[in-house]
Amino acid sequence: MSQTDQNKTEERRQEAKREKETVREKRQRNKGIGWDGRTLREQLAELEDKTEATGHYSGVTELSLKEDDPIRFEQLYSRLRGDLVTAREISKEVSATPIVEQEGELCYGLFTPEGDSIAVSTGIIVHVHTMSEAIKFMINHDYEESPGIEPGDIFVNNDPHVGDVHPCDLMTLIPIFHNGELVAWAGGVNHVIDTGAVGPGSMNVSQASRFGDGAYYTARKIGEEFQLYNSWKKEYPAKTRTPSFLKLDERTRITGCLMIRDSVKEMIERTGVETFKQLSREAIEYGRRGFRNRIKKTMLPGTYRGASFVDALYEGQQNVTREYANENHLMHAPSELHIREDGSFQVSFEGANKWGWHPYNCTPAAIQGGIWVMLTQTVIPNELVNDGAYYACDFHLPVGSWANTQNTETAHAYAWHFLVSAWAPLWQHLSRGYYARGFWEEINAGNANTSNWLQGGGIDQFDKLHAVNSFEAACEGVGARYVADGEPHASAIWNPEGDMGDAEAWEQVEPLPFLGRAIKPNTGGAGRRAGGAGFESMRTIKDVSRWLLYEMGNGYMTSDSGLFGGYPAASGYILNAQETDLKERFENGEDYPQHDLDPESGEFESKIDGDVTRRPEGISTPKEFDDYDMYLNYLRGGSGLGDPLERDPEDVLSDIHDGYVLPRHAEDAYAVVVNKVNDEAKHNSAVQGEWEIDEGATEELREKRMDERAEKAQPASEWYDQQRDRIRNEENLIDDVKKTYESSMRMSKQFARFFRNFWDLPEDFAFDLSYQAEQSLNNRFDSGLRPMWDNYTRRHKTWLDVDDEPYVPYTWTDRSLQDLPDSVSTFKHFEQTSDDD
Amino acid sequence: MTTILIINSVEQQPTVREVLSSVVDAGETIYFLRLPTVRCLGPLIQDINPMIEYDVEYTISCLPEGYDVAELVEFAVETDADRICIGISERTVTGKARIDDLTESVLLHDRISGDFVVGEHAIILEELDYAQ
Repeated sequence: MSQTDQNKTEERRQEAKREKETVREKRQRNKGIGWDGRTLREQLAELEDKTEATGHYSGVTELSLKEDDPIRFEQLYSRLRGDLVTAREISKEVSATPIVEQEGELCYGLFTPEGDSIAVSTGIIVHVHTMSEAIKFMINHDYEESPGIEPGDIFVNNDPHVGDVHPCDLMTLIPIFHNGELVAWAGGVNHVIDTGAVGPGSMNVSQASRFGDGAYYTARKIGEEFQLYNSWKKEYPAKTRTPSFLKLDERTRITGCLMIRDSVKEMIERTGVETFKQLSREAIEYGRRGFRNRIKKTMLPGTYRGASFVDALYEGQQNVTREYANENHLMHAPSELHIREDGSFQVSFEGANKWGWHPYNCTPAAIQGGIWVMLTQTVIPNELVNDGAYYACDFHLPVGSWANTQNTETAHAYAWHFLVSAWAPLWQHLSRGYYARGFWEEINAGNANTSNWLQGGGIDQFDKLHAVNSFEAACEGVGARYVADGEPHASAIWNPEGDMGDAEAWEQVEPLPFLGRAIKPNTGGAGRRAGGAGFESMRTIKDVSRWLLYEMGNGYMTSDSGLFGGYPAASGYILNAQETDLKERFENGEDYPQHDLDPESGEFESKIDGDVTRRPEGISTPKEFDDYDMYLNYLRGGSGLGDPLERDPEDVLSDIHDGYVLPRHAEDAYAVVVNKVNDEAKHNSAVQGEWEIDEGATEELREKRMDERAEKAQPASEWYDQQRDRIRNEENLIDDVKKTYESSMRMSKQFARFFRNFWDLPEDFAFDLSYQAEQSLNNRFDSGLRPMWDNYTRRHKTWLDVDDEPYVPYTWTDRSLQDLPDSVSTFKHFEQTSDDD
Repeated sequence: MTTILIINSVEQQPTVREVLSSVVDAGETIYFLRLPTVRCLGPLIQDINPMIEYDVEYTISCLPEGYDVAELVEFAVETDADRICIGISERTVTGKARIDDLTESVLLHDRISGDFVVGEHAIILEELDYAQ
């Protein structure tokens, strides 16, 4: 450390000591660290009370700072936000993992004393709200009393039941004081490379419960006077396979938090603390209004409904930690979005099926954070991005479902698998509203299922215990827009700034040399506007021992359907090769597979000898790989929009040359006939060859295709009758599908009634399940475990207001949100009114 | 009108509810005054939600350890309080409200006068007048 830095560090510590004395003096006088002598919990309680009573954040009805001098307001806010972005850009260079340094899986927030975000940096902005929850948890559990919240303190959290998505996102929080008063929090979070789970990597998949997820740090104080406790410094590195990386990640987060603290202190010195306080309140209220105003402007009031599914198949998998977890799971996420005329925005997942013995379960913090990051990009890209949006939305997350497990056993290592899949319909609800109101540029078919996750570990090329977690998944294809194709291999829903990272950077930390990297054809959904293509990396393994690798993503099911007639994005598959002759091929200068651009062509298998595994699944449990084995990392595409038969054939031709579509699929999906006219031509892609459109054949084929459609088409009523009979007679329905729907019906009387009414089924209709499926459901429905979520802020109440909502075994309601007259009504009031009548 | 509600225990929800529902009207201002025996009113406020449930404006203040009743009276003067409410923390064997030391000190303070009302859970000093 330079002398200047040492001086600054010492100065900061001395300042913390002085501020601490002021805080302790106030405590002697029975004053809290909140504003005007209140405790933090008093301040939080009052804020929530005022917010709900007035409908404005903290009762702020007038934005006087903004209205009196709007330029100054913008300058002050932009300064704060700019400093957050700067903190991220600089501090990410401290980290050693490409996850942070290359892909930028890091985010910072500035929060009010009560834990509401004022501003956030770029990066994994899902964590705007998760850090909020963690702060509120500490407040609600009286951390001010014990262990104390004082200047110079450092806190850590990665517990999704407190405020996080999953345990590999570690967050550092530091309080910012001024004259003995807590004026703000700075928080930073990044995705670490290994959590010390039962399998290597950051998001292991083979565990059945939380106790295999890795190390949990539940909102803990880990330092004082800007120094980490020695006990912490010894503890957490021992709980991970990659201690050096985690230490540097922690330094990254602390660096950024301290930079943000400096920024706030400097602003207070320049403008005064009262201005800072007022700015923080008004910014959130302004954010709330911005969200509401956008919804009022761009959406039609009403109820938007949809559903999504995704697979997580474990039957027959090796290395699952418990035999009872050896079953298949399908996530069912029926979603309703209620928009009212005042712009209120209410999302319900009523009917979601039960949590499972897998690591894809979610908590309220995870769901709210996840939906929040989606809304930020779709609804408020031009408004202030902060917790104002959180206060503008309501969520109903059925207790006991995969969305809100309330369970001490559930695993959460990769909550994103269900989270990302569940909100697929929400994109489309918004798009339908935008379409109806004429905001066509805002329409988006959805996002890619962010996978595959290449993860694993063992003894690496440096003879060290190591873990890997490729973040090429930050670079998926984006869903098609109404006015343009989706961006190919561009970003991830949880980090719009995502990047695939330089291959060389990944190779420095992964003993997995790249054999090839290319756009993957047929991954973006076909449509008038095509979904953005995904890509693939072909890797081999070198200089390892006891090395495990596994896959994680969607397989049989695609969670992202197309929009307005567009096709869904392609789903996933697994491709490995073990005990190969790759070494000999290298030595002999022979051909070897660099891609799997056409999985049906047999080209991969023709260029390698070995034990090839090719499966139409997306998830595998850790298995051992050795030198010269091969692993395909396939990153998904986005969904399509509009009828593929309306896509301009010239665009389809460009798709072929750019590697987005295989020539034979141009005919299948788009009815565009092309002829190869040159074998040698090269393009800026993996494609070799030149094609031309056969216009006559294309026109003919498109007409024929339309005729075929007309021939196959049937009235919806006829289709409905067939499907109803199929359901009644349980024809062609695999056990996993029946188990899924049965679970949803047992979870929700409302959903059960809807399902039975829709399909005109008997009132007592239930699916006939296999013994194993029945056992599985009974097992989970009967488990009487205590609830986990005990951070009861006002925003967590379900507006369905079920008084004695049982945590287990069922969450149920006979009532529909559509019966309520306005966004502030609850069923308690509704029933009282009815009684009065 | 302005009311000071003295809180000396975190178990005083009945007192607070009684005052908010029967003594003060919607739109009035409450000063919750936390005594040194109570570290935090957060749970109480979260339970009662005065603004949502009773439509009252309020602030939370505190008195330090070793406070003098003169400080409480000074606070009442500064806030121009019309009422002071104190919870009944103890009852006699016959069920009558016991006047504790604080209540007695306020009643006997020569700078303050008013009407004395005993409720179910609270003692209310209302129609307050302040001597110069």
